[in-house]
Amino acid sequence: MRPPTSLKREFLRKWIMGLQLCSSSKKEMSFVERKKAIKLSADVAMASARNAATRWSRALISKASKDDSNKGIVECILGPDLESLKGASLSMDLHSNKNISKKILSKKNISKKILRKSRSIRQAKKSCSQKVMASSIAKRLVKKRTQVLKSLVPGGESMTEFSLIEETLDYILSLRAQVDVMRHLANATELLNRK
Amino acid sequence: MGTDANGDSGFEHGDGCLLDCPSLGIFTSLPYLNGVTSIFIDDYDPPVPPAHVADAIAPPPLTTHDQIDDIYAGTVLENQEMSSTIQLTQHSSDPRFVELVPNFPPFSTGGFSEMITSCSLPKCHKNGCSPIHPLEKNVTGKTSNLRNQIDNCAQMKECHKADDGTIKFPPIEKKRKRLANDGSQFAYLKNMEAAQQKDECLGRQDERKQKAEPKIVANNCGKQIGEEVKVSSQNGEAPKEDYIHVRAKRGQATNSHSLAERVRRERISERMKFLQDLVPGCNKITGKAVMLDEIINYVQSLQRQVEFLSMKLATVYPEMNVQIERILSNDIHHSKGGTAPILGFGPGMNSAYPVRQVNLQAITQAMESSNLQSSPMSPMPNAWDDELQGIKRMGFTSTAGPENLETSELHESTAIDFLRPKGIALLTQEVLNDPAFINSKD
Repeated sequence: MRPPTSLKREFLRKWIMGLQLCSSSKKEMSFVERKKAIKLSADVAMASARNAATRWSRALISKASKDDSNKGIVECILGPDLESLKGASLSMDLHSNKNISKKILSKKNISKKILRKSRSIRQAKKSCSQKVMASSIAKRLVKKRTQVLKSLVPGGESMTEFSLIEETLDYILSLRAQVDVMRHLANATELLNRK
Repeated sequence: MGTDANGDSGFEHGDGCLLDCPSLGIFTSLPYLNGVTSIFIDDYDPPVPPAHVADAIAPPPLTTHDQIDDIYAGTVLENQEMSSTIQLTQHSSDPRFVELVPNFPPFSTGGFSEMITSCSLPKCHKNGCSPIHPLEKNVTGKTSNLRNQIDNCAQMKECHKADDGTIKFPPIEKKRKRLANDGSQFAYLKNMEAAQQKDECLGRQDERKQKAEPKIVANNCGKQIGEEVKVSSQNGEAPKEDYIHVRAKRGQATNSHSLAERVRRERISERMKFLQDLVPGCNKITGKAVMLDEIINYVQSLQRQVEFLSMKLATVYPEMNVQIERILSNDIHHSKGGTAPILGFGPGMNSAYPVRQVNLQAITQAMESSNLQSSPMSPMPNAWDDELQGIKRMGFTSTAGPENLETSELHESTAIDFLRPKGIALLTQEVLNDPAFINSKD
């Protein structure tokens, strides 16, 4: 396995920076704001710890930097020279993703729909055997679930099925590391506070 | 089936019953809050002989996930099995695993392409062996299926001729163009290993079958060569060893589309197997739909955990300032163990990024000095308390003495204690009612 400790360490480091920035900027924050700030810095730190090697991390960062209020944190976490790199890749990703993927997806969807209709008509004519129906039902289920998964993984809308699975793999690993670090921190504070 | 119910809840979130999901997450995590600190202590001081760091980190998350997520209530045994498959030391007999593990480092640095190719290697080896088998059967002579396979091997030598006529596959097009330059070489090198046997049947059947169906044959060949070119160009190694040998097996269609489909399906199923090992409790599941369901549930639960943990941290830190640094410095010292990583941590952090607050610098310097003194303490003791006391004394030399420190901390902690019983329940309600939170779930 890729050494999880290094990932966690990266994440922790960047997260600390983000938190410091948050706390220095606003003195009085409501509970919700605080929670959002924590979560945001955690997410961005996680994404940048992957060094934009994966699509989901890029998508996450681009989403976060769209919102003006978050930009400061994002920039801080990313670091000065990384920012320019990511700016380029982000803009490329954004534009390319937006334009191309929309067109491609719409075309794909239309053509797929047509194919599906013709296929189903043909199948209905040919045989209503149980096998055929079962397989079509299975396919439909799989389709539904890939849709849901696409909505879960950041930036998943414009991914083929194969890349989606890989991105999910990586995303699960990083989420796990993130949860571990956060949990340890929460425990540490709890224990310390109990003293 | 339990997963179906959870799958439904997962679907509902698309329909707008958002409140169900977060409440689920919170309720399942409440026991985590109350009773489980002992478990976390056990997790928290992993035995840190560095060789087993990976091992130590892998099992605890699984066992704690087991605790937290009722959905993933596999037995502890099952999770341990799972963790053993992930550990570096033990492997299942699956050869793909053995190939996988040393190749995960490229996962972090080089991205996915290397991982794909490295993981496709074992597959190639497997498939590379297989053509010999059916060929041997062929020699005994079942012609209808022979035809397919022999056409394939015939074309491996001939395909560079058939290049132009076979552009039916848009994705393969570019690969074929590349191929046109290297074509004959590839064909030759590939054939070196299994060539002899193939040549026999080639010699017999070649003339007969060659003209029969040039199109399909050429497509198949193109498909194979396309795969080979793709893999070898990515690897940059000698092409004879690695190619995804797509061979029409007995009784299967050799239609070009179905071949591509099959390759795609195989790659997807391979990835799904990796996912099976990541998601706890999925060893026995076969079938894409159920697997996907489990994966969705897992990702959702992880995301919910992140939300919940950030909420929890928000409650503990009314002012996110000084406490974070102090606690993080303690935390870093404990969780990362040893002196070397922390020494590497501290100065690296200071130099790379502008540190905005003086406290942090002071703390890291204090940490470093304390690390030098505290090397006898670095083998992780089991008792939190002693370490904490010791480090507080050694680390925070700026304040007067241990007692002063403790009282000052006590002040803060009592303030937090006031908050806490008001605590999680009320605050979570507050958050749930907050429309922003609900929107952020989207």
